[in-house]
This record gives sequence, C-alpha cells and structure tokens, in this order.
Amino acid sequence: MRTFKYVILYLLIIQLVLPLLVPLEAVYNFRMDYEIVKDRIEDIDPVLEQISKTIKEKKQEDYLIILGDSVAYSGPGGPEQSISFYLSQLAEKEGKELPVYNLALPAMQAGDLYTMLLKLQEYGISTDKLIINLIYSGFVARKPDPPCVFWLAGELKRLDPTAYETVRKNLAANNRVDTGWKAFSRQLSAFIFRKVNIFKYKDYLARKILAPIEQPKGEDPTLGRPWFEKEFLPDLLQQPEYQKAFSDQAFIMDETNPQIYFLQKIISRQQDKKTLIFLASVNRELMQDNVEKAGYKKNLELIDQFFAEKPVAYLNLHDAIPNELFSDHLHLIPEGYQYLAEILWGQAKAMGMLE
Amino acid sequence: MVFQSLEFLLLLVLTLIVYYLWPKGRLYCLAIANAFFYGVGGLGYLVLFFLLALITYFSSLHLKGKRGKIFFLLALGLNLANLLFFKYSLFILNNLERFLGLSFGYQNSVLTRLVLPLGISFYTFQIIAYLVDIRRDRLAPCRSFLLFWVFVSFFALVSSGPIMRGEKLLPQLERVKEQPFNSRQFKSGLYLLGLGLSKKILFADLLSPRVAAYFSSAPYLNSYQAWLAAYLFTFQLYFDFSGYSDMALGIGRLFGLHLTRNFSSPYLSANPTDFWKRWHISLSSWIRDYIYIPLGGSKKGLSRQLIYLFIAMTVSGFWHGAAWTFIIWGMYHGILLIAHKLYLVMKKRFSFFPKGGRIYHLASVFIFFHLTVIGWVFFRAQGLTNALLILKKMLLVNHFSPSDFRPLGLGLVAFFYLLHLGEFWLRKNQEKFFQFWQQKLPAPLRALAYTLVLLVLILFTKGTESGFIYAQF
Repeated sequence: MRTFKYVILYLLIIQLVLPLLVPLEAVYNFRMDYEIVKDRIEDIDPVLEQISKTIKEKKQEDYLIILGDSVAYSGPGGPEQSISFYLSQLAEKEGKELPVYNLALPAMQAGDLYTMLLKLQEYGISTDKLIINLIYSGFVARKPDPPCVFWLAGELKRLDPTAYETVRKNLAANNRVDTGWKAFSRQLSAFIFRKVNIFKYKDYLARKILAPIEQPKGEDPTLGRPWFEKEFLPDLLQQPEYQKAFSDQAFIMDETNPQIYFLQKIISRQQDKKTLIFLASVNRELMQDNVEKAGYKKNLELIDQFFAEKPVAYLNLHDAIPNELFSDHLHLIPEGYQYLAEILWGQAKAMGMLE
Repeated sequence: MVFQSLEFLLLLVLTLIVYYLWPKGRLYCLAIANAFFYGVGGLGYLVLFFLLALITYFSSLHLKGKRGKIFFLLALGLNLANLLFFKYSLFILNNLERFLGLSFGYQNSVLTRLVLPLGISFYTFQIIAYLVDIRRDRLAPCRSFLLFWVFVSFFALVSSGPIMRGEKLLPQLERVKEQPFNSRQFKSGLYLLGLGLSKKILFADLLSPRVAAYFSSAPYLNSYQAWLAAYLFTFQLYFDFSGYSDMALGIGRLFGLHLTRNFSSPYLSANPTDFWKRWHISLSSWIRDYIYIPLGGSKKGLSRQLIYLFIAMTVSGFWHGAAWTFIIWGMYHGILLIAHKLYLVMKKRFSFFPKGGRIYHLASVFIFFHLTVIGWVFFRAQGLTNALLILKKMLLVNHFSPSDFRPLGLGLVAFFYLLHLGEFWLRKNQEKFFQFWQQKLPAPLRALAYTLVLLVLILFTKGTESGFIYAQF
C-alpha cells in the first residue's frame, strides 16, 4: 500500500509539472502538426495550452491568431513555407513585435472555426486580432457531405450544445454523431486526453522519443511544384467530388445553410475585435470552365453582399493570386503563400492590427 | 475492445470493484462483464454466441442419457456449422469455383460482408473440448447456465484464448464465491498484465509497421531484407500473442483464477516436438487430445502416426485462417514433426548420429529457430505467391549480395533474441527476483520503477488502433 501511495504521489507530480516542462516548439512549429492532430483531434489541446502558457510567460498582449482550412494551414508545403512563417518574417522585417499563431487545419469547416473560437476562449487566448480563411466550397449546399463540423463535433457538443443540436442532422448524415457505447468511449477518451497531462502530451513526447529510430519519410516530390507540372490534375479535377466544390447552383445565404449559421455566430463573437475574413483564391486557368459560369459568378457576389453588411473586414481574394503560384486548383506553392502573406499583411496594417 | 484501451481499463476496474465488494454475486458480475465485453463488438454476435452457449448447455445436460449421441452431434454440429459459416464458407466456395470451374454467384451476397465474430475459433474449440470431455466421462456437465456462460465467455480469454478445459476452469469458477482477496496473487496478476502490455506496446506494436512495410513490398526485397522481414515478424508475432496471453493470465489472476499458460520461451526449442510444447500450448494440447489421439496417435505403428501428425498439423493450420498460406504453414510443421520423428528413429538405430551435449543442443536450437522463421513467412505473407517469392529470396544463394548487409538490422534481431532469453531467465528465477524486489528495494524506489513503466506504456500505447494478430483468428 505504501508503494501504491508513492506511485500516486509521483503521478500527481507529473500531472502538475509536465505542461511546465514542455516547450511550445515541441507541439507547434509555425502551425499545428497535421500528421499528429489528424489521428487524434484532442492533440489540439496541448498546442492551445502551450500557446496560452507562452502568451502569459512572455506577457504578449498583441498577437495574431489565424484560423482556417488547408489554405491558411498552407498545404502542401512545410511549416516554413506557411503564411504564418511569412507573416512572422514580415513582422520581423518591419521591427514589429507581433507573434503569429496559426491554428488552421486542413478540412476545417465553419463549424470547426466557431468551435476553435470557443476553445481559444477556454484557454484564455484572445482573438482580438484574428484572420480567418474561407473557401467557395464552404458555401455550397451539403448533400450531406462535407459535415459542417469536420474535426471538432465532440468539442462543439461540449462547448455549445445548442449549436450542436442545430446542426446535428447534418452531422448525423455524415456519421459524425456517435451513440451508445461508441459515444461513451469517445467521450471518455476525449476527457482523459484533455485532463490527464501524460495522455495529453503523449503523442508529442512519443514522437520526440521515437524520432531517432523512425525511418525518415521520403519527401513527396510533388510538394512545392506548380500545378502545370502535374499532368494528372486536369483529369483529377473532373471527378465529382472536386466538381461539387465549384457548384454553380445558387447559394442559400440564410441560416439554414450551416456555413452561414456558423459565420453569423463567429461574427457575433468577434464584435468590436479586429477580424479579417478572406475568401481564398482559385486557380482560374485550371478551373476556367467552372469559374466562368454565370451561376458561379453570381454566388461570389452573394458572398460579397453577405460580408458587406457585417462588422468584419472582408477580402475577396478569389482572383488575387497569379495562376502560376498555385500548386493545384486551390493551394499554393511557397512563393504563392508568401504572396498571400504580403496581401494579408497589407490589409492587417490598414486595419490597424499592428498598432 | 482491446486490453490496452481506456474502455477496457474502466471495465476491468469496475468489474474488480464489484467482484471483491460483492462475493456472493461474483458469477453474476463476471457474466455481465463478459456479455458487455463481447456485446461491444456487435450485439448481434453476442446474441448468436449466447444462443449457442444456451443450446450447448442444454445439450450437455443430456449427453449421458439415452439420446446422448444425438444431443452430442446436435451441439457439436451447431458449433462447427457456426465456425464453418463465418470463417470458412467464402474460402470453400471460392476454391470450389476455382477447382470445379463452377460459378455460385455469391460475390455480391451477404457472405462477402460478414465480419468474423470475436474469438469464434477459440470459443468453438473450448466448447468442443467441453462436449467431448463429458462424452468421455472426464467431466461432469455444468449444472448452472450462469457458470457455463462465464466459463465459455470469460472476457480475459474469449478473444484469443488460452483455450481452457472445463476440468481446469469450471472448478475454479464454482469456488469464486469463497475466494478471499489474495494480495500476492493480485500483485502477480498486475505483474503479468504489465509484462504482457509491455510486450505488446513496446515491441509488437513498434515492429508492426516495419514488418508490414517489408511484407507489402515482397518483390522489391533483397535477400537480406527478406530474412530481416521474416526475423522481425517472428518476434512481432511472439510479442503480440504471448503479450496477449500474459495479459489474459494476469487478468485471470486479478480475479483469483489460474488460466493455462500458453507460452514457454518457444524460440529456445531444439526440435518441433519441443516447440509445440512451448508455443500456443492450449491449442497444441487441444489438437493432440481431440484430433491426434482420437485418430490413433502413436498406437497404430510409425507410418500411421506420421500420417496422423500431418493431418493434425494441417487442421491446426486451417484453424488459424481460411487461406492456403495457413494450411501450408500447418503442413510445413507437420512435415517438420514427421522429419523429427524419423530422425529420432534413425538416431536410435544408427550409432553415427550425434548423441547430444551442449553444442549439439545449441546447434539444434539455432537450426530449429531458423526453420520456424521460414515457416512464419507463410503465416504472414499476403498470398502464396508473395510467400514463395520471399522464401526464394531468403533461400537461393544467387540472391545474396554482401553489399545489402546492414549490421543494425541483425543487431536488432539479436537484441530481440536476448530479450527472449531474458524472459526465460526471469521466469526461471522469478521467485528469487520477487523476493529481492520486495525486500531489498525501498518502497519509493519500487514506486518510481512502477511509475516509469506506467508512463512508458501510456506514451507508446496505440489503444484501439492496434488489435492483436490472433484476435483475427
């Protein structure tokens, strides 16, 4: 029994001390680590905890939060080819003290962005200066996919049960609603991974320990290559899942569209804060047949009209990036993300985000 | 629900609390926990298992009566039909089509969408042993369905064994109400659970992706890589299955139950007969008692004995999986056993055969270990073509090139073999070791060691993502 008491004591010490010993760099490097987070979405929490700790330790009052999907995440390039890296460089160049925290993740939907705002509040991270990326396909009617909350449905249920109930039907149609044992099992796991620090940090620590014996993954040769060097792309983009994302059917711009429902909630939470929402660019040359349709153009106008009445800054970057800077129809090569960062930097300056 | 998951930990802790707080209700507690453990995998399969258990139980009550044979055949037939339907129907149809040139048109039928019920091969063999033992008067039929349900569905063993005999487990279960809490036994259970978890999480799971990468690229392997793939799988399988078995034994002990040990340092075997006394002991003894001996065993002359050995090992291979690779693996071990029997006969007759000694023993262990490694290629490869391809690269001299050799890989294999030896040493000296551990080391230091083990296990566990190899059988 004495031994057991000591074990409990040691575990308590670890619980208290572990978050203090882990540096931010172990969990965050200009953006979240998709390879880790995609397998266990609770792995977002250590990132938020460490950012929160850094903000407090360094007494950071001004910092920029980025939320979004694979565009803000800056796939398919590496962390040092991301908009957060380039924005940090720009800040440094101009002698501004503005840490940038990029919390975007591929496939994040408006529901995930809203849930991230709730999580940021939970961790005491301010969203006074916030940049969000949206893409055209987010507004397309969901039939039923993609789910309006791709990653964080469980967290939305915990943090805003009313919002969760509102979109439950869409989530259920996308197999994002667990019931019975599966729901219990998932909630138990999420609870342990949020509350018990050794579980919370285990994926990051295990990666660190195993790094010397892991076989290095060969770098994908298509990374960083522009779209016109990828011969397979035009055919691939004719597939229904890609074509659906460029639908020219008229957008429904009321709250029956989960995208609008969550955007309204995001905007209302961001009242009196400096928020920049940008619509990501599209490779007009590659998607020419789609983007020139009248219905598509009309939909872009609908998005512009929606934001025109809202108390947030909005940038329609649909045509803003030169086609040669794309790595596919939507994502950019490193020079493209640098270009995007410069646009965002300019707008942030204009909005007084750097003051 | 796998043993290394949080859900299982919760189930185990809750069951243990109720079990020790409510001695009179222990069987109920285990029965409910078993049903829950099994039901999580699919309610339909739980109902099926429960019905089979119910029919077997009622049939077993009449095995000694006038219509005993009919009830025996009914229960046996139903259990075998269940196994045949879920595990072998596709394989049989597929091969009938292939060899007879027929077409049954089952490709879009429900058969192709069936998922193998958890532990079906294990519980079927356990039930068969129970029925046969009653028919042979070696066991009295169970008089309580509650007891029988706990016997066939005990969650520590239902998914991958050990295949328990009624004579060993039923008397223990009958006495569970009177069993006092035994701290020494409980600690030994925790030790076995920790040992099994360590084998699974630290070795089997870390080896798994490397082995999978090698076996999925069979055509591109060089000779050295083919050997390395086979060696690594040899240890992955051992750590995975013996790790599971240690956990099962440990869980049993937490409830005061002694389950059959399934492994006894098998890679130290000097011959195939020795190997089958050390590897998956509960299955090999089942095959011996319910197939090999009923066929005639060694009582009908050497040539018949060799045929029976071959049949028994082929059945053992087929039990593992509905694929030719498993059948050939079984046949391969049958041939090894036959060769060993013949060798023993020759050794008796002719004086020029070596008689024994330490070097002879070490050489035998070395040779037999490599014969086992070769056999595992059939067990792991995706299809017969891949298995033969890997074996060709392992065995043909013209595939060897000194430049392919990497000392690090072989160092890893040597390390795993040393671990295997270390486990053998630990088991042999466990009493001394425990005494030293408890008496010489102060509590804070022991606690520190336990905490470190716990942390390492938490850090590296993959939870539900990683199942056990034998759970698919």
